[in-house]
Parts: sequence; structure tokens; C-alpha cells
Amino acid sequence: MRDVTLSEQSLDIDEFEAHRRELTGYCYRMLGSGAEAEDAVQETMLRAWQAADRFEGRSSVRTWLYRIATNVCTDMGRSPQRRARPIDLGPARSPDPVHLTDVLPESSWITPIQDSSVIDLGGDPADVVARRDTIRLAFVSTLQQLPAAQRAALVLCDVFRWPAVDVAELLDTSPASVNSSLQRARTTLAQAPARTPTVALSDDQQRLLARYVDAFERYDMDALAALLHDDVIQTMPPYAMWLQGRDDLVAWYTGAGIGCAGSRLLAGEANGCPAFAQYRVDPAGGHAPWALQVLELRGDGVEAIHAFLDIEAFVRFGFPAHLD
Amino acid sequence: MTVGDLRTVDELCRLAVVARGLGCRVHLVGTDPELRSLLDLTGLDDVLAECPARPFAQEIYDA
Repeated sequence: MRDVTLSEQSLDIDEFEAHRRELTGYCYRMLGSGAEAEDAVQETMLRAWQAADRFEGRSSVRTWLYRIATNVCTDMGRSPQRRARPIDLGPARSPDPVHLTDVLPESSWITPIQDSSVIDLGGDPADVVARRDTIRLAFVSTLQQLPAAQRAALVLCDVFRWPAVDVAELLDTSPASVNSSLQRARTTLAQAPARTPTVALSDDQQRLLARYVDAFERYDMDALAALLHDDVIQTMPPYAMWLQGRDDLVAWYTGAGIGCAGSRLLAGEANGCPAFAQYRVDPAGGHAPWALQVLELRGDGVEAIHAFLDIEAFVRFGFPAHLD
Repeated sequence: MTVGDLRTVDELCRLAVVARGLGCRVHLVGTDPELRSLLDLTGLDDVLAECPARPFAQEIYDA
């Protein structure tokens, strides 16, 4: 055990701060909101500091902080995982702006979180990859919608890539039953969670991202389309509507989304994925924050663009409030 | 065991399969809270259940 049990005399704020990142990841999985997770951790630290004289050292500081964080998240009146992605809530829509009238309440959609808030990006590369998996949008949002047996089958088969026979052995059931659970889970979900396990980006994928930025900033739809998988999806929370298929995405960008022409993108990392802060042309001059794009890659193409129209996230991520 | 990530969950599940083959079950003791939250989320909390007789005293927290 690496946990250190401290006596109350030696409790200090540095001991709390050492756990800030992992507590943020924990609260994010509970709350599904980057902003709320960071608030919850702040509140946890405050309560811990105020209650430090009552900490008797019978458990580790870490375990104690997790218990406080659990209470804080519960006190925030949230049932775990009440937030979802648009693709979890309804079918894909046509690229018609009429669907923009359907706006989700702020409390219902998952909001992004910056990788560096949750992960020590300078740590062991294998640890970084493994921790990124736990904050992926698909992982956070979809598992809670399934019964436990289906969740287990899905994680073991689709994330860990176990053969069904081993899964059956672990879950004390038959391979046929495992496959049945898996099928039901996949039917329930619009898209299997974490169908592309996170790996460190390959050189080809780094080049793909560079080409994506170039195509998007030049608004070259042929070049952009060449980077998208046939079944690519785009979500745009808080709008409930989401798009599926390369042709529909291009139709959107050349139609209702034409205001994105002339945008500039700044690179970042969110939810274990490459992300871009998109700034649209500001009629008053320069470029103004528009959307935080979280990209999911599969092989040599883009399989999902989650464009969060969440200007508040720009502040949390430390992106500029305006580009000249 | 203090690393609460999916790699750890995967490794523990592999251990549990081996144990099953030997007619045994794996119980966890004093599980890391982050790991426990991942086991709950992935539906593997029954497979890797907490040992009922926990030797670690629970810190009472009432803030």
C-alpha cells in the first residue's frame, strides 16, 4: 500500500492537494460535468480542512478524502450519471436547422473536462493512457444505462477484448449468455461504449489532426470529408440534435453551420481525446469562442466530433477569451 | 493495490478467472475507493467483492 496514514498533527494542505487530480476524475464520473466536478473537489478540500481536527488517522487521508467527496457529490443533489450525450437520448437527425429548436437543459448533458485536471500528463505513459480511458465520454455516459451484467460483458469484451469463453468463466455463466448480454447492451446503446480503446496517438493520427486543423481552418470540405469515417457522428450539446454520416456532416457545414467558415482552432486535450477550441469570426473583429470540439479517432479517420457549445469551458480549460 | 484504473480492473479480473479455475474466489480487502468506483461503474463489483470481514476500521465522517 502506498497510502500513508497520517496523524492529525501532520495533516496539511499539501497532503490534500496531492489527491486533487484523482478526486476530480472520481467526481467527474459521479457528476458528468467538468465544472461541477471541480466545484465538488474544492468543496471537498474545504470540508476536509475544516474537519481536519476530527480526522483520527484510522484510515488513510486518501480514503477519508474520497468519503468526503462522495458526501459532497451526494449533497449536490445529483444521482450518479444523470447526464448523457445527445446520442444516448434520441436518434440522429437530418442536417436541418429546424432541429435546433430542441435545446437540452444544462443539467442533462455531459460537459467536457480537461485531461490535465484529472491526469498527471507527465506521469508514466502507460498510466496516462489507462487513466484517459476512465474519462472518455462514451465510458462515462453509457455504462450507467445498462444493467450490471451487461455492463460487465461489454467492458470485458469490448474494452478489455476478452474472449467470450473467459468472460463466461469470470461471470459464472455460459458463453451463449455472455453473447446474449452483449447483444442486448449493444442494442440498448446507440453506439457501443469505448468501442475504440484509447491508445497513445500514432504518428499517422498526429498527422491526421494536423490535416483536420488545416482543412477546417481553410473550410475545405473535400479535404475535411476525406478525414471522416463513413459513419462519423457529430454532437452539438446543448442541442439535442446530432448528425450521422459524412455526407450529413458536410451538408451541415455548408448549410446551417456555414458560420464556422473562417474559424480558427487551438489544440488541447479533453476526456482522454484530442480536442480543439474553435473560434468563429467575430463581426466586431478577431475571433470569438464558439465550441470546444472533442474528437474521437478510429484508425486513420475521425469517428466522432463532439462540439460542445460551452463558452464557459474555454475559461476552465485556460483558452483565450478572444483571438485577435 | 492503489492504482484505480481500467488496467488494474483488467488484471484483477484475470486473477479472478484463474482463481475460479482452481475453485476459489477472489475477495478484495481495503479496496482503493477510486478502484471501487470503477468496479461499480463497470458492473464488476460482484465479481471482485469486498471481503465481508474488513480489518480496516472505518473512519467516521460526519461533516
